[in-house]
Amino acid sequence: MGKALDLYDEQEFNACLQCAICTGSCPTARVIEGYNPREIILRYIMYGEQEEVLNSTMIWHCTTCHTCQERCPHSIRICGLLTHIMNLAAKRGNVPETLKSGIKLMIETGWSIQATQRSDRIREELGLNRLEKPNTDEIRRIFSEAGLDTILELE
Amino acid sequence: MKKTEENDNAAAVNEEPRIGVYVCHCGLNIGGSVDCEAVALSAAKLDNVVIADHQLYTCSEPGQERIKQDIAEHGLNRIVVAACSPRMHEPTFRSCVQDAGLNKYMLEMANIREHCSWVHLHDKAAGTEKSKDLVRMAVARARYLEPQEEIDVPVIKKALVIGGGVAGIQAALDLADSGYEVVLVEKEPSIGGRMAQIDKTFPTMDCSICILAPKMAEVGRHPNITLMSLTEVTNIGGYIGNFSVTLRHKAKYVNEDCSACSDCMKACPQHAPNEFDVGLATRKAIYIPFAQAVPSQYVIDMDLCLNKNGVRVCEKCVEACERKCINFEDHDREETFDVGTIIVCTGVDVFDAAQIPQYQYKKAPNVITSLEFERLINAGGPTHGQLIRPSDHRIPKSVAFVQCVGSRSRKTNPYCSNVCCMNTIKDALLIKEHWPETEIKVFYIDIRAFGKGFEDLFQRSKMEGVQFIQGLPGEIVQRKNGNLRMIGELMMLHELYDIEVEMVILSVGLKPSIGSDVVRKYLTLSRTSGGFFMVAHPKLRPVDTATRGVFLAGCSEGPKDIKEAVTQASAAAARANIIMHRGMVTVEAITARVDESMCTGCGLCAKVCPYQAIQINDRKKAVVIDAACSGCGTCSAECKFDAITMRHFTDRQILAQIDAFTEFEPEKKILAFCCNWCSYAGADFAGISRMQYAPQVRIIRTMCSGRVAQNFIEHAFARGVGVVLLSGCHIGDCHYIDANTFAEKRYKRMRRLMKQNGLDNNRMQLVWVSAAEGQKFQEKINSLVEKLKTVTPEEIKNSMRFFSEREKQRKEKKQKTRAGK
Ligand SMILES: Cc1cc2nc3c(=O)[nH]c(=O)nc-3n(C[C@H](O)[C@H](O)[C@H](O)COP(=O)(O)OP(=O)(O)OC[C@H]3O[C@@H](n4cnc5c(N)ncnc54)[C@H](O)[C@@H]3O)c2cc1C
Ligand code: SF4
Ligand code: SF4
Ligand code: SF4
Ligand code: SF4
Repeated sequence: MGKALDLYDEQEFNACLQCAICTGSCPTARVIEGYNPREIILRYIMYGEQEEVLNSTMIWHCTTCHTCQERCPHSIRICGLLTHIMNLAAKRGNVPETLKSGIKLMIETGWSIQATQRSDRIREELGLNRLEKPNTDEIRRIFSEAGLDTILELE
Repeated sequence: MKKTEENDNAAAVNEEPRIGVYVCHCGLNIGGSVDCEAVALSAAKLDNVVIADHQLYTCSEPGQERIKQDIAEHGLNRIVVAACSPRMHEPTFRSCVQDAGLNKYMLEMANIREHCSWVHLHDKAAGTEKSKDLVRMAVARARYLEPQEEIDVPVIKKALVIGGGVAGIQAALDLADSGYEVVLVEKEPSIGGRMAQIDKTFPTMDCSICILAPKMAEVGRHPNITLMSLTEVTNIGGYIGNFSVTLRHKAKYVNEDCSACSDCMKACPQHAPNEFDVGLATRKAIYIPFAQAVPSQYVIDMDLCLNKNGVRVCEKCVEACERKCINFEDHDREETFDVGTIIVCTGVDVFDAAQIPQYQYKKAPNVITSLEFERLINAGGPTHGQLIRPSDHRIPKSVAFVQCVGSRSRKTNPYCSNVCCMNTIKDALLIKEHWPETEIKVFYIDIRAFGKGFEDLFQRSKMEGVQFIQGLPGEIVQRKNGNLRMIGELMMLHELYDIEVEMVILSVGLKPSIGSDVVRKYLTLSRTSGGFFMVAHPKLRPVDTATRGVFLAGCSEGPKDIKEAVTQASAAAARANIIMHRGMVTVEAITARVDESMCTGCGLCAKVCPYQAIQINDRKKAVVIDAACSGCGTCSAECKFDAITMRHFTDRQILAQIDAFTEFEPEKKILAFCCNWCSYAGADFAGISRMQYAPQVRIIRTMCSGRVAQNFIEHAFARGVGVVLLSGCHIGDCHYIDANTFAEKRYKRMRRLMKQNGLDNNRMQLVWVSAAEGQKFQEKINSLVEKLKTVTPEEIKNSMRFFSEREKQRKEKKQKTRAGK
């Protein structure tokens, strides 16, 4: 089993003022309707709605940009909590399909965005060298060490 | 029972002690986590204890009655009360034993509440064992208590008030009206403080300067008040009733004949931003901060004036002044005088909003602070009361207020600033009064409208159409036209807002004024976590400080509104009045005494005394000047010949406490020496706040960490203590000037000594803890318990052998010196 980075500390989050600076700062919240980091803290920590939060798809919208955390007057590690929640959710199988296929692609090809004939051509035109195929064995090993293969049932 | 030989001899000198021990349940405060009956039973078995009992409330009338009866009935001559902190109830029980005919110094308290039950709430077994230890230590000390006579010293009937805001003004007027001489010191050219800067005051909406100016004028002409503006405190020494104060009067370059006609100002060519208008307007190099200033007198800002360092290039003001008041030869002057009481009213500054970059303060011109708003809306201000936005001098059609800027934040000020919610409501109403069409939005977390008349004002503002929006903006973005986009979350409706307004007012919080720093230094006042001064007791002594004779009023104690500041000021004046009216203060009988037969006249004591209270007389003997001695005990700790006795904190008493402490399993425990003012109070604070920590520690209280002699620590190690903690006020905060630096020296010496002799010197620890740092104390103890686990039996044995040997040698050497004489 891999070791997930865990920044969870309930006491710290209980100090949340519900000032809404986090959501007001969140670039994702501006484009994804209903995405609300403040509400995730409220539900997950203060109202004890862990189950509901862990099963929701909303949590996967966080891009871990840290803007909320940077501006929170209480230095609450909001982004840390979201990472923690995403880790737990993944372990119970709540991972969006797009993310799964992205990871699969990476394991298979070594790229998160695949090189195409078109990209090869553009590189050539720009005088850049051809991309070497990455060592996917190594990537696979890293992912498996982190426990991703079991979580995502990749085998 | 084991006792050291030395202590045995000493005990014999005294009358046979007959001790009564009273263990208090304090309801469930102690009884809930300590088995008080078991503690009393164990005390009953100690030598000299005639009677030991437990009571629900020892401080209650029946509780005290019981002690008095027992004293009469059983001929008790010493009383031990195991209850709350002596800082709380020592005076109560002292007067109780006094009523029963004992000298009040025959009382000893064991602190089993703040230092035990409240910090070990969930471990009754450990709490009970610790209480037994604490009581045994108290009984051991009680055996050696001696009666003491206190002396009265006269009080100088003159008061010093530091800071001329509304609080300082009120305190000075009250004392002056009572007939006392008052010196009011203000660092700025005029008194008035923040209240002079604001336009109207909530909740009544009266004009601030209109109600303040008459009081300021009264200060200026009161026969009992000496007003010293543009003056700084440069030193304060002494003690209650007899403080010695040194001030520096900064040069004003304009003498008292000035009639404030303003001719000079018109002539002066030099401009600079005006501090009083928060930089929104300019002033000249020769200026008066505002029209109603008291003293009503111009001053010259030499940093701005063209004439520098005696080189005269400009004579314009001198030529303009008909009364010939301007004097470039003026210079700073120092002055020293004595006062009996001091009231600290150093007030507040406002938070620097530029610390929160996403709110664009100082970057976007139309984002201003609430203090700047006060000057803009004020008829006497730079815009004559027109609320114009700085970028294009237009009156804004829409305004947004942002609350809690800099307050309630772990990054900036952790506390609520108390006045900004109401201030914003007031400001919003003021705008509506002048320009009813203005759209006003208030972005907030909570609205705190708790005082009398506050809710009414809040409702009124809603009726006037002010919109309250829950959810602070995440950021403010400036548009090309100078308007501002407020971007955030509309919490009530679960959606985001992106609202454009023409002007933003940041509701900045309050913070302790810079001027409070120097006062803190000289008066060694403690501060709470937000940086405001700490009172002696938050409920029952709300204007007293831990330093007797020094009082607090206004925002120096914490953010508050004018009404509260004035109330506190009158309270502080009344408290100071009590002392000066009585004319005498009783000084605790804890000063040093020299035993001439032991004194070799080496003069070390005189050298270390922070108060120069010791002189060596012509017979080559040290003499203590009682009135100057503060009882820190540094001399006694330094004297190599045991020639100095600290009354009520004698070597014998402290060594007896150490002996009692080490009787059972000393290797598993921590012995902490705490000074009365900071670290003992800090440990009390941890108790009051119920901060839980490991139960292995026992505290011995001394007045100052400088009292803790190296031989106390060595004795503890010789008897097998696991860890010794020395604790006092932070360096620079010592209540005895710098006596704690001696504690630091001894600590370093001990560490070196242990290291050189192959002992684990991490068993000797030092920590500075202020009265507000309960958490620091908690953390230190918890970390020391980890250390304790690493101390091996081998290590304990080695250190016991090493330090016992040293003690033996020391004793022999002393005997030789004595025989030699
Ligand atoms: C923007 C704003 C609006 C407000 N509006 C209201 C309101 O509408 N109603 C209301 O009730 N309250 C209001 N308040 C609060 C009010 O200003 C304070 O309650 C009041 O000023 C407290 O008075 P003070 O004397 O304690 O402190 P201050 O007014 O801060 O005065 C302290 C004085 O001490 C001087 N000083 C500091 N250090 C030294 C030193 N070392 N030596 C000599 N002098 C020193 C300072 O120069 C200053 O003159 C407002 C506050 C602000 C910031
Ligand atoms: S910014 Fe911080 S304090 Fe404010 S709601 Fe978000 S997490 Fe809570
Ligand atoms: S870290 Fe996540 S929640 Fe926070 S601002 Fe970025 S995307 Fe939003
Ligand atoms: S008074 Fe209101 S605006 Fe000021 S810090 Fe407290 S809650 Fe915030
Ligand atoms: S060192 Fe302290 S105890 Fe000794 S004489 Fe000086 S003030 Fe008094």
